Amino acid sequence: MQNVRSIFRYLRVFLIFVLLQGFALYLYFTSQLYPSIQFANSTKGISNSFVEAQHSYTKYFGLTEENRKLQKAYKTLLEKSPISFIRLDAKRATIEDTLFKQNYSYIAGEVLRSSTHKANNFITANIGKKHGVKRGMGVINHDGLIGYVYEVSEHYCLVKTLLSENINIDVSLPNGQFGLLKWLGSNPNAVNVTGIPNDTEVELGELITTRGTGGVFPRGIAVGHVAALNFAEGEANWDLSLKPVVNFGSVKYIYVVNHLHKAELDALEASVLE
Amino acid sequence: MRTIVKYILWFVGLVAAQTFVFDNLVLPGGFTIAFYTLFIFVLPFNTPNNLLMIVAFALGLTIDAFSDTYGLNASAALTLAAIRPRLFRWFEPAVGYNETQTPSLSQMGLNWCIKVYSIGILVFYSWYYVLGFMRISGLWFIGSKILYSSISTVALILLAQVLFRRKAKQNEL
Repeated sequence: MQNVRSIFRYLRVFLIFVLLQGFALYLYFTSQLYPSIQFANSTKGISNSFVEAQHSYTKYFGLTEENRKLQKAYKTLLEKSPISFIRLDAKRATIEDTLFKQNYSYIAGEVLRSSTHKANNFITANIGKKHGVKRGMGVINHDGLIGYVYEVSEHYCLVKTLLSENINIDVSLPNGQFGLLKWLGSNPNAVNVTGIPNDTEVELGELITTRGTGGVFPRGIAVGHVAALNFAEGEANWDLSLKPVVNFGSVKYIYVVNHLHKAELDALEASVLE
Repeated sequence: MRTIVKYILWFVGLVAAQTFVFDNLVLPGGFTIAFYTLFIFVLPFNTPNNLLMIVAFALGLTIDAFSDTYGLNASAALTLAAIRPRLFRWFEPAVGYNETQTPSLSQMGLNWCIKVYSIGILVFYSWYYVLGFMRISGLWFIGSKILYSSISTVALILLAQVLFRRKAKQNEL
């Protein structure tokens, strides 16, 4: 009798362990597949108010550096704006330009928190549904590519950065040859590009940019400089390692890319694929 | 009743310390410090196994909600809680445990704590990193992360207890 009772006791402990463990693993693995059934993250509830409170103290760090970068970005834009140009031909009439129509708009946001040392690294930012952010939109900053929006709440969003598994973003070399961006999980200062044939000429230090397919990112957003070049094992491809232009440890401001004709593009592509 | 309030305060304090301080540390090699595991170690000897696991699970889940890891910490903390009774039985002193004691540095001594904490944390981090990184990284990389993270975590939770013990003694005087 004593024995039976102790067996039952062990069984109960074991059962509780299996139940709770099953629940934890279910949460962990499903969150990787379907972001819609996540139970809680830093965009929601009390966890979010903690993040917000923390940010109210840490946001002043590195402000000088951040201002200098913004100044530089503004200077570049100013140089492209019409007021920086003089007219060479006085006889030419002013024509309203109908050749160009705005294709992308940007939603500016402030980073509340970021990480670089986990298996999936996220940025929490203070823009959400209310500001027009939707799941799957691209995210950049004034240095270059950051990632895409993974989860949105009313006032906040969670951005999956390049430092995540299955990030899979189309990137291209300056000569137009394109490949797929991946992260191998080890080093926040290195991301990899696969699928570039090894008869393509690649130079160390070359800038890899976004390819601009799928309407998530504009073409030509800086991703990283080629840092190492190896032959991929068993394939006729290069194994490229890039140093990202963005320092993910110190991102303060981000821009969410809003493709203005995304619905049209998606509908067209869907109609062909069906 | 007083002890329950004490442990609730510990719980809140450790969650705050983990999310505000240790989650924000960027350490060379990208290893981490799971300071909150201290809570699972210092619960009294007579805590029922079921309660221990449920508390550890809740603690892990709270940390997950704050650090966007979705159940990874809950799973690892639960595993640590599940092996704790066995670990304590392994290193049981010849005279047995005194039920009124708690498994802390001040009551069990440095030698016992280093042994128990090291093995516990090693199991915790093996679970944590194998689960977290198995699909994207190599064995060597995971191994080095487990090793460095475990060493720094054990060192920190021992150090924290040294600091707290001093304070407690001063209060008595």
